[in-house]
Amino acid sequence: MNQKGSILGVLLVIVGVVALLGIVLAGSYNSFVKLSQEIDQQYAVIESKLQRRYDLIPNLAETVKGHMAHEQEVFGQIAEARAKMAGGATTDERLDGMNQMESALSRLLVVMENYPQLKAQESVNNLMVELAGTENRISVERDNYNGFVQKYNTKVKSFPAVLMASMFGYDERPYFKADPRAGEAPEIKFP
Amino acid sequence: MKYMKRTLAIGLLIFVLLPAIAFATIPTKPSQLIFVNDFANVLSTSQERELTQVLAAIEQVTGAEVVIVTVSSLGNDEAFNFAQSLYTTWGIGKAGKNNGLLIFAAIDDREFRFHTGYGLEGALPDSYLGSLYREYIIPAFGQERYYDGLMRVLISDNGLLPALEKEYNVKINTNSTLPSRSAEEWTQDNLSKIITIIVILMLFTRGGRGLFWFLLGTSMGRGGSNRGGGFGGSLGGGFGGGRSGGGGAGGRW
Repeated sequence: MNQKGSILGVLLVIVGVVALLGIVLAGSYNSFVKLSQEIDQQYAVIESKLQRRYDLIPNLAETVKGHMAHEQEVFGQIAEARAKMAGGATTDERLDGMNQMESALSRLLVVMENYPQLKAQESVNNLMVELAGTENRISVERDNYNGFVQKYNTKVKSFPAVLMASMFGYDERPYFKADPRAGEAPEIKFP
Repeated sequence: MKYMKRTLAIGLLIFVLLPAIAFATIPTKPSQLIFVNDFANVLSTSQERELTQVLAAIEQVTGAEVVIVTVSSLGNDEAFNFAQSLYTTWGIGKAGKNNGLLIFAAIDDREFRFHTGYGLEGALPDSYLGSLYREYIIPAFGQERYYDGLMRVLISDNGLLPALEKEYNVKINTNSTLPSRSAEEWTQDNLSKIITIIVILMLFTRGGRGLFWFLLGTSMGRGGSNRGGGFGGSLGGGFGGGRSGGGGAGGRW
């Protein structure tokens, strides 16, 4: 009687522990789903800001082209980076194109410094402001993205969630890093 | 031993003070909805009151929180980062609507920024804010006419007030008028002369002592911000908790 009772007790404890573990793991599974969806949503936000930049940079290039006949090289670079961004099949390829666009843009801005008459044009000024605003928005949303990734990665790597994460293929996600070549962020000044 | 103690004390003092010198800190969030936060002390009390009146009227009719913040220095930070941190810390604009606009100036660094919340990006596009900056802020701030520049940005025919009226399809009544430029300029040009006369009066007359204390009193009284604008917000006061995606425009004047 006494022995039977203690076996039952042990069984109950085991069942209890397993159930508790199940609840904890299910909870962490749900939080993986939620957190990784937040990351995906935030990526979509960044992409929409990037799209705004695809539209603006060629606009700016078109507007200033006429005044900068001797600077065809930089316009070529912009066109190339744009093609890469639009045609990239994977996230990494598009990120690479984006980083190229960033360095091509900073070269354009450096070159534009040599044409002070551009700053007297309202259309150029407006495009520069829009462009600066887009850069700022991208940097803000990129920080937000990295914030979400950090939250997710911390969760995925911590115990006991890590057991669940590897089982269901929730791996660490990469941070959004700027290209070291474009380390000196393009400074957009006006007027 | 005696010297070591002293060196240690000085070292400790430097260690404690250094962070305060090296990094500019974001001003603490006011507990009430204060529209004009003149930490750089470039506006007089009556000028603050005038600006507050316009900004409070905007908030009352549209719910949009347009807030002016001046600081002396950015420290080692960039204007954009500073404004973004300030915006996020304070939470300008109503939560969910994110209908805030921060009008930010770092006086010693000569940096100015309009910083929009997500909700006002459509009504106040960057290029529009950039044109306001070029048209009103640069010329006025360049001559240290801060009130003039800010008021013009708000109530000119192409200013923020008409732009917000159009966006929300409302009429906002204020009895503010544009400052007369000539009067402002006259004061600006003759300020040094006026001060010289006052100083001479103080030095050479006995009655000047009273004047000295009077002046000291008024200059001390200028320090505080206008605290009349704490209405319209949610219960508990303060800013609404709006967010910004970094929109806006600005530059070095």
